[in-house]
Amino acid sequence: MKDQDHASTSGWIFTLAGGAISWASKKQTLIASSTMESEFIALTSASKEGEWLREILHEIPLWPKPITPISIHCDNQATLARAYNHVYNGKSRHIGLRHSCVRELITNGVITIDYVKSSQNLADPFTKGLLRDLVNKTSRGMGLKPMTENHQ
Amino acid sequence: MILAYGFNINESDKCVYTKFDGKGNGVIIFLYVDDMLIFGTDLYQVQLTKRILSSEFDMKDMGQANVILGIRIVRDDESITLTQYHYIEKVLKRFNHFDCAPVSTPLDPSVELVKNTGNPVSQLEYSKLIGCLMYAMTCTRPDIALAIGKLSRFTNNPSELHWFAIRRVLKYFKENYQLWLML
Repeated sequence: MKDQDHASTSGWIFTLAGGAISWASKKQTLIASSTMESEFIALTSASKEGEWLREILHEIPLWPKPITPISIHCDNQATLARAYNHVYNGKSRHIGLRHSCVRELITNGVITIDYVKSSQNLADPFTKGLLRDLVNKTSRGMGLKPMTENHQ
Repeated sequence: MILAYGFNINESDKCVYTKFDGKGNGVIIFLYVDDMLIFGTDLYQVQLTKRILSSEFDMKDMGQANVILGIRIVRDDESITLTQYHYIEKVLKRFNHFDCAPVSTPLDPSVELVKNTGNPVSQLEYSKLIGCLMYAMTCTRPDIALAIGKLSRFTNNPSELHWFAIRRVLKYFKENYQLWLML
């Protein structure tokens, strides 16, 4: 989502065992010149968080090893294609840097990136105001459930 | 200090310590300032750890963890639920929204939040409310992250428009959710 100053908002969420464990919604600090670029900025910060979460799990002895790559879902096909393509023909250095960063994490088996439809994207409520049905749907997906009497 | 008793520090998060024997039994300790959670594979391991720690530190055993940092932990056979409903209830009462009519979304996409050019409206109250909501957001309520992220940009000079939007978040909170981890 663009603000008046044309800065986009990044949003990502990680779930484990059906519940949200880490999330963020942040206004981007640099101006992206296309949707793909702004998605790439978000993807990079999500990937870094994913790498960190994986490191934590790695040092928990009970967690089964080896740890499979963390699957990151992205709702933009262009970004996905760009991430799996090792050539970046863009002109700007700040995006090229992020491209290499994501590429490295994919190559090292830390993350994989998969496509998800916008309507199924759990991170959608972090980047735009949604209507009631989608708010409900994504909240359930995050592991938020309505209060029930027995928990009072 | 803890390391001397054979605990290993988690290099990614230095507040997490683990200690396991060769058979896979052991404990994980989580520290937060003066609070501590001990998670063990069985009760014996937990008690052993408590004995070690209480010999070194002056500490109070609260038994099975029910509340940590204002977050209530509810367990049943297959899941763990983290909930802050009592905290949210307190916030609603404090800001006189306990009896308001609920709404179903935290943010109205048709309202554009613009910078206030006039005088701030109850600035102190606004920043207090942002603080309260932000705490809930970072702990158990990812669903309001965007709304809080946007509204907190106007903390130094809130207008009626921003107050209107933040009251909507409070109304949204009337429809209470809790974070649920299925194990």
